[in-house]
Amino acid sequence: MFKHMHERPTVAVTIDNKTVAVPVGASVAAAILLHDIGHCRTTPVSGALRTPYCMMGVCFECLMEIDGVTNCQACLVTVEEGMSVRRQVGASGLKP
Amino acid sequence: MRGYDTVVVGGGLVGMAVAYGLARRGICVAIADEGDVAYRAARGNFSLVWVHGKGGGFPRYASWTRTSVDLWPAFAAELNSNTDINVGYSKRGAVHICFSDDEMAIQRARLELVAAEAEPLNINPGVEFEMLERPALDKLMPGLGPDVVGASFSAIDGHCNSLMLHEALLKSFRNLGGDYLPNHRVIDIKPRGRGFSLKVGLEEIICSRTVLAGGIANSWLGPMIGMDVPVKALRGQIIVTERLKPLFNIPTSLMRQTDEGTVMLGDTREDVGLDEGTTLQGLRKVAANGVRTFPFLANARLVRAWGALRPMPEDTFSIYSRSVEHPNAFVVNCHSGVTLAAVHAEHLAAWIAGEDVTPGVTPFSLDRFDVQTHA
Repeated sequence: MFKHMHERPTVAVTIDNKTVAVPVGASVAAAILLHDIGHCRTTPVSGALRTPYCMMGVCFECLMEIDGVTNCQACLVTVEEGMSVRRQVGASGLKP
Repeated sequence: MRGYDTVVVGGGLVGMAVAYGLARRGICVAIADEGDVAYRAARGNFSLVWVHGKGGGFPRYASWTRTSVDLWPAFAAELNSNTDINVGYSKRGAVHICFSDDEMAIQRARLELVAAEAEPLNINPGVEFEMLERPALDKLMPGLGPDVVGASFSAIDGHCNSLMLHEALLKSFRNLGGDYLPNHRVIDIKPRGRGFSLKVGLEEIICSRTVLAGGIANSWLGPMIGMDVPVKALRGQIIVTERLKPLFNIPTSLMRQTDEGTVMLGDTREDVGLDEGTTLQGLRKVAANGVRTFPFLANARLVRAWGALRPMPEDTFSIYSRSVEHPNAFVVNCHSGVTLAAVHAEHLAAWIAGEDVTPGVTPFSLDRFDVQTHA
């Protein structure tokens, strides 16, 4: 599990119904690694487990549903108080 | 100095299909391929396996395309058994969407003309279609926008994964002992006895037969073996969305959902020389057409867009020609490398190998262009 170097104020984020404290300014992908969430999604093609990898918006491994929007790159989204994050299973549907 | 019976110049979908077909006949073949810097239509195209609407004014081209569409199921199965690669071929029909009664009438007339032109020649007309109005079309494709009036439907058309097709052809070719030579840009071709010497960098490759399948590059390679090839680049821009749950299961002429979930939206036709780039104006047009067809796509996120160059013959139809001056040199050009891959591997390769082939390829010769053969 990752630990941060300096204490920072936190916000409460819900990840698949579990509420966790995440330092202000961290990305959603960092929150996944910080709280040892394991995989953030399964792939549409083979169903393989995926977890954040490049942390800079390139690899598209960290796709998650954030506040109801699917296929968000979790490493490019900064956590906010009350944010709801869900693991994504397979291919996502479109927002109606 | 390396030697082969046949060297195919160009390792895109066209060269790869022909080389595979030749290797399957026991011929010792090498592919001299330019490499990743090539203007490679094979990695940018739209992956339709499609006949309906093609060949107006050239019934034998419609018929030839139909032959390939008919060969495709066995071809896909053969590549799968050669390599274990699934080329994602799906033959569940395809539509061309019309947004007005006028467009419906024009499309119907276009398809009826293709059928009529084939009749006096007593050949397979290629086209097989019905015009669908709503709500018949809605049963086939739910979620269409209010602007859609109807579509032409062809039950024999479909689509595939052209990157996998390219990969499966390469692997099949190599399994047969074919020699694939990447980063081998041919810079000169010289007659050598009844065969040829191909210059690649400082190296020379000799062969008794050569097939130019270099796409756009055929326009400057052709004259080296006595053939002026009227082909030029026509750019198409394509947009790709995020991977999504299945939204529609048959392609339109401008839109398809891949087996892996992305929606591909095409395309533009632009004469901009060798510029492979994208433009905001072009992509906007592509996206607007997509949303007009399926309004739900407005909420899809786009992850990629690219431009690619079609190697387009002057009259848009295939060129298969043998040099008069050097009878062991052939030129092959077309802009439908996916659809025609099956017939290229089968009939075209047989013709190049010197076998009698039906249907014949004579109508596709360079003779139809009013140009002087290179002296």
